[in-house]
Amino acid sequence: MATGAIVARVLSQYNGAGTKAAKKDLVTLSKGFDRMAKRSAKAFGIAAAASAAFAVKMGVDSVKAAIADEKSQALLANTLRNTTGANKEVIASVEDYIDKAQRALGITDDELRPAFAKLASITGSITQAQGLLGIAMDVSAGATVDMQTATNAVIKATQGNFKALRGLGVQLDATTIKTKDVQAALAAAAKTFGGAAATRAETFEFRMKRVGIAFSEAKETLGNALLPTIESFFQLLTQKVIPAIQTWLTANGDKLVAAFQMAIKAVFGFAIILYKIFDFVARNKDVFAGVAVILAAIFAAGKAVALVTAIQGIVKAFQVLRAAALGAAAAEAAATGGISVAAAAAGVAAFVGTVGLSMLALKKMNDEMDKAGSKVDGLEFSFDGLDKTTADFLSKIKNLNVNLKTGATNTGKLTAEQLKLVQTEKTLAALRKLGIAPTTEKDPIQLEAARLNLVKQGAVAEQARLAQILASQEAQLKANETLQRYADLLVVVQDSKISAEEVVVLAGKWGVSKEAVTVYIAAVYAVNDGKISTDEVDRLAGQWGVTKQQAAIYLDFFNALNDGKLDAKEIEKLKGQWGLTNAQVVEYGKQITAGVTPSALWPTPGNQARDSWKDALTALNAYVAASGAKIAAPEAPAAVTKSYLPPGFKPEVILPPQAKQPGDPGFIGPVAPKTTSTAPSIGSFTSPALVNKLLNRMPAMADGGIVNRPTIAMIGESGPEAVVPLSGGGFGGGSITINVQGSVISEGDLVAQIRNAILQGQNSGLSITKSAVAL
Amino acid sequence: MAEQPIILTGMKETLEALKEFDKDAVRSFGRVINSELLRAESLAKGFIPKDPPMRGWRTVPAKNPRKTTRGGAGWPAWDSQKARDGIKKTRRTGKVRDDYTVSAGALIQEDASGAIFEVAGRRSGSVNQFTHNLNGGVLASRAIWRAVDKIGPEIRVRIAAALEDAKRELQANLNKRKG
Repeated sequence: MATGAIVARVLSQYNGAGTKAAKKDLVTLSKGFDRMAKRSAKAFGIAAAASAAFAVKMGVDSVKAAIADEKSQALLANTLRNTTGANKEVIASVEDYIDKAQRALGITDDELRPAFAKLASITGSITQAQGLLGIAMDVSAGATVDMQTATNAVIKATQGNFKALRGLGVQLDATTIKTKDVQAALAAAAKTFGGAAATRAETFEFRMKRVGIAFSEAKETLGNALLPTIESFFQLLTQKVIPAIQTWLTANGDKLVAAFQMAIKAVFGFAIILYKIFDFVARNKDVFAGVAVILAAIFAAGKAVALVTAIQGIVKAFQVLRAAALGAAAAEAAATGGISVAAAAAGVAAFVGTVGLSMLALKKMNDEMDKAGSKVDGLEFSFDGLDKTTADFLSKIKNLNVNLKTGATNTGKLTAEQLKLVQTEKTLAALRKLGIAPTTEKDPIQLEAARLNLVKQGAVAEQARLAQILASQEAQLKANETLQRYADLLVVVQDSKISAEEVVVLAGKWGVSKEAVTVYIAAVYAVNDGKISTDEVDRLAGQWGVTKQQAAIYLDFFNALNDGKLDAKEIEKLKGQWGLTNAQVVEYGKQITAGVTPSALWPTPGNQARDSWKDALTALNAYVAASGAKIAAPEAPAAVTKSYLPPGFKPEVILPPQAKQPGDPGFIGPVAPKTTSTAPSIGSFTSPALVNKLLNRMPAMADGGIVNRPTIAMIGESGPEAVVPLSGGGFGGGSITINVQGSVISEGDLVAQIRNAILQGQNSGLSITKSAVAL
Repeated sequence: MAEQPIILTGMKETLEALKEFDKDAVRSFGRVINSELLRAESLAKGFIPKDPPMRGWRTVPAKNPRKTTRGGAGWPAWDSQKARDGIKKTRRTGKVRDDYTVSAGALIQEDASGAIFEVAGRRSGSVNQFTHNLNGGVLASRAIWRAVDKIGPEIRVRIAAALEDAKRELQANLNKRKG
């Protein structure tokens, strides 16, 4: 081809040269991703660790603050009840007043509550106490004294002793002093220092103090959310763990003393035992396996595209590991802070000791995992250096995936490029063992090249079409899944309650957590009547640990997703109602469809901390369960069946003893079989609204339809329908059997009998042909 | 420029494999490509005007060409015959393009004056005096691109069909061998 010649393309083709060029470009692209990922990996890790640590710190501080606040509130409430006869509502209003005052004036509730309690005691009136507290606050601010001093001065003034008040700078005339005119003295105080508290609140110092108070209040609120879980934790400790350890100590005290007197070897052995009891590695087996698979995939993909995802996965794995370690820390905190040491000194000591030792083991593993995690930067991963107790498991992992260490040893003398090639081959071989199909040299590259070409040409319509098909299939699957869930619910609520065991079974069947199941049940109940009440939203917000708005958003999305997808109209409605963008609506829809719970959907430090505590609780339960064989633990209390149905779900019998027929008032489903069995059927189910809602959401077949796999559907809802198998007989394949009953005297009677039978067959969907009625 | 909605895949592999069974079929496919490209070539040559496309474009080479133009060769003289002869069909694959394809058939214009006639004003897209005078104010795509724009889609469909026939032929032979 001559230099500078003009070329007009007529035909184009893909061949090996194009494939090589595409591959080269992909490698270049991968390197770009690789560099970006390396830079960001460290930042991701640090941010995740910092946020996790902060969440736990917040949780601990919040619980402490909440405990102190609760104590302070309880004391004030008690004083008010005793001195003024205040009821619950009045006490709540006082608390509200104190809350507003502290936020507005920068005086903490810890100062205001004792002051209010004293004033209420003296006056016996809430109203007067509030008035005097206002004066005391002004005096405190104007005279620059603490609230206690100012309150005492005001109290003395109400008793006719003005010395303290005058000492703080309130000028009283001789008449007032002589006549001991309390009102005049208080008026003078108000005149002298009136507005001082408000003025002081606007100074820089007190503005900062108000910010601090607001933060403290937030922590207390957070702590209040955590308290129920902590309470469960304490109950478990006091009722099961400590007695178990005490019993064990009684029986094995001498041995324990001997064990503790042994050198570090024995102690370490004890830690190992406890470590095994916690079953830490076994519980996190999937996490380890997941990390290994992700790492293998990184190597196979040229160490690039999946790296960011992998880093997130690894960070998540670390968080899980840390959460377990924090569980032990939580147990320690609870054991040292919440138990009567005198009552169970030996048990506490033993527990703290053992938990502490297990903490050491967990910490060691954490440290080692962190070290291993830092090596991700170099795209290497070593399982070496972990605790010996994990050796068996780790060896399995090595066999399961890639023996990187062996590979490096055997290929130590190769060039860097050859090493890379060998590494890739080894990883591919490992992936094959995992059932991941190996890639060929040509096809994926060609497909990618074709895809890039389509993108370059702007031919995205085809891609969009494919995406639409995939989305449609996914939505169909989701819809089927939803129906299946309804069917499962129908089964388990036959006895008008859902027990904890049933929740566990549903969680296992649906492949979601127990919390997700309870959220699902609550949401179904909340939206079953087609409207979402404020009461429901309030109750569920508290139950789920989210704001009322978030609970309302969740329920709205849940309602809109009843068919497994969001159509354009629903998206527009949700956007308008909640001020969301299109992308946000789609994202929420995806998450809620995937079974993400509200607390996970809107994570807060409080939720994260609460989850940590829950993990700790789970770890402790596991400990108790596992130690049962070795420790003479007290007998477990009788299993308590907890109902997961919302309050107000009252069983009621819908069907009268005489079963109703279709068309009768109150008929809600298939007729209960007329048998002597006492087993409840769907027809005798208890909540008509819920049942009707569930039934209405099933696909209706009134207009006909074809199903080719097991499907839950509603038939006969608009009149008689025939269900005809397509294989075997099929349409028109049936025969009509005519039973002539009674006396047939005339030919007309016989014709009428035959005609009625044929009409009945026709109504049942049979094709009436000449052969079908041939005699 | 003509769009490229049809990209041939597996042409080289198909023809190489088919060669083992039916060389005539391979030759036949080659003839289809050649004849189609020839058709385009003839059409493009027909678009080259006999007279200079612009007034003042001399028909003999300059005696003292400008040293800075074309490496000292100066502005090329208009020679319609050379411009026509400069248009050729080619099946060289050439370099890999941005869309990871290579050529399977193209028209080229190797003559300098023909190339100027083909592309003058194409990049700027403006119809200035030069391009206005050139070809009556019509923008570029005047010869080979014009031909490809005109019958390129038709050519591609025919060749793609011929390739499909070759693939079927190959499949039939493979099935026959299989038994």
